Amino acid sequence: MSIYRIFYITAALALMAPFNGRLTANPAMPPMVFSVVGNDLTVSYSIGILSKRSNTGIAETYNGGVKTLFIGGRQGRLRLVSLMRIQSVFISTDQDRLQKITIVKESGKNKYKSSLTEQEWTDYNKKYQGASYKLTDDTTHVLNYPCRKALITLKGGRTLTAWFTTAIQNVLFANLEPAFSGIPGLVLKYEYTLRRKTISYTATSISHNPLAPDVFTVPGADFPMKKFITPGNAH
Amino acid sequence: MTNRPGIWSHLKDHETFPPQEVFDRIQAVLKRADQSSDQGLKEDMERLGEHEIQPPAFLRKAIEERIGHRRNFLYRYITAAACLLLVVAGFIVYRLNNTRMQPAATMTKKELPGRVVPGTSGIQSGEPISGKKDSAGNLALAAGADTANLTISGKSRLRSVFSIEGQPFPVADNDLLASFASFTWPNLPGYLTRSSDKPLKIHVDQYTSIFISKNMQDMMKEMYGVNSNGKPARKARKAREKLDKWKKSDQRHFDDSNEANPLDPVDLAEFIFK
Repeated sequence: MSIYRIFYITAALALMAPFNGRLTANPAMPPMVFSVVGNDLTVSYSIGILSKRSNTGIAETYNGGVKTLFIGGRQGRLRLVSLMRIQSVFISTDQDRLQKITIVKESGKNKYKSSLTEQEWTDYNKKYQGASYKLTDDTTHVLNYPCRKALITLKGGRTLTAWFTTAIQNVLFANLEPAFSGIPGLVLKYEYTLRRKTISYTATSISHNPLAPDVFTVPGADFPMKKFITPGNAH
Repeated sequence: MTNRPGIWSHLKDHETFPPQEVFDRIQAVLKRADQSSDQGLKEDMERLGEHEIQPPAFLRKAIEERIGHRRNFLYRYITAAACLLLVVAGFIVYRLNNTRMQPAATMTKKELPGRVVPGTSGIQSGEPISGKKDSAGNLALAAGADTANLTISGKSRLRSVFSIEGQPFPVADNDLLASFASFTWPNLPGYLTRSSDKPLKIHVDQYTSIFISKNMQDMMKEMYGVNSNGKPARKARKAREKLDKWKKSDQRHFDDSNEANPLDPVDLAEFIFK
């Protein structure tokens, strides 16, 4: 092997060094970081406000926001990012039972975190107890997933419309979004209409790339603990 | 005749050395020419001095090979040094990349996902968006966030590095609304002042980018309107007051009590559509 060939090979190897680990990982992920447990899931939903009125006031501060569902092993996180606030719910399960639930408000001067018991979480989402789930024959496609329409009717007559796919399943869906506890799959689009205005959540990306462990790390002492007060009245 | 082998070419290459006595006689003549004052002979000798004979090809080739050999030797040294330098540079880059990312097990509790360490000066999100008045009575728009201190926790992998149109957007306390209200007129970013029908995109982190609706952009532009005398226009003050009011209302509804969950679609809709 001539010296020039050695030089070219060395140059090629040296130039490849910065990309080590990135070629096999998702370019959006930091290099050389992989989750220990497989089948991680990240679903991003874009929040849209639909109204005949051109300006919907305070709703505009949530319009264009993103809600992201992170699932990794036995941990899950639902995060809302919007102009008005950034907030997350962290959950961890053990044998399909909710073990730890933490609400974290990540934005603003008054950040905080609150730990909830399973009962407190159930009370927090009491409005979905007794909800009826009607799976219709209407179908659509969201992100190339065939989705079926479901109507979720709460006590008092409020109705959520959801499109779900059975192609993706995980027991944590119902824990993170109690509204969808009766849906046999992953909801990729849902909306709620009130006073002729609609808030819609539409999945814009689904990823199974490994998630960094810190996605599920609840913030530490920098976020003061705030006692969770169980809501007094049922919805 | 023309097809016979080139016997003349062989003759062309044939050499015969002159007899030694001829060489001696020429040498004697030359010695006498040096010593004599014969002008004609001197001129002949000068012309001889200008006479050039090309060296034999084998001689030229030998010289070039000798020089080339030395050059090759130098090139090898330079090439080897370049290889070594590239290896070292590649190693340094590799190490830098890896030392930036710590293993999860060594991360402390302070390494928060999505956390922006607020600067020691600049906007605190609890401050009213309406800003404070300066000594001249002008509504001194709140100072821009101290970007030098707005560092992202370098150890967290889920890092919020807010940016707009590729440019870093300093955000204090992860409060986007307050940060948008923190610019100093007339030093406003272009995306706030120009007219556009497209929503403005804010890159939050590797998983999330959000959009600001046109209505919201118009409102934020309105916050920085000024009169002909340079003071904030009445519309600007009203826009800021409205945003303040929204923030307080949002906090009262979702943070001061646990009656509603902003991550729940029904709770959120019933608050923002009331």
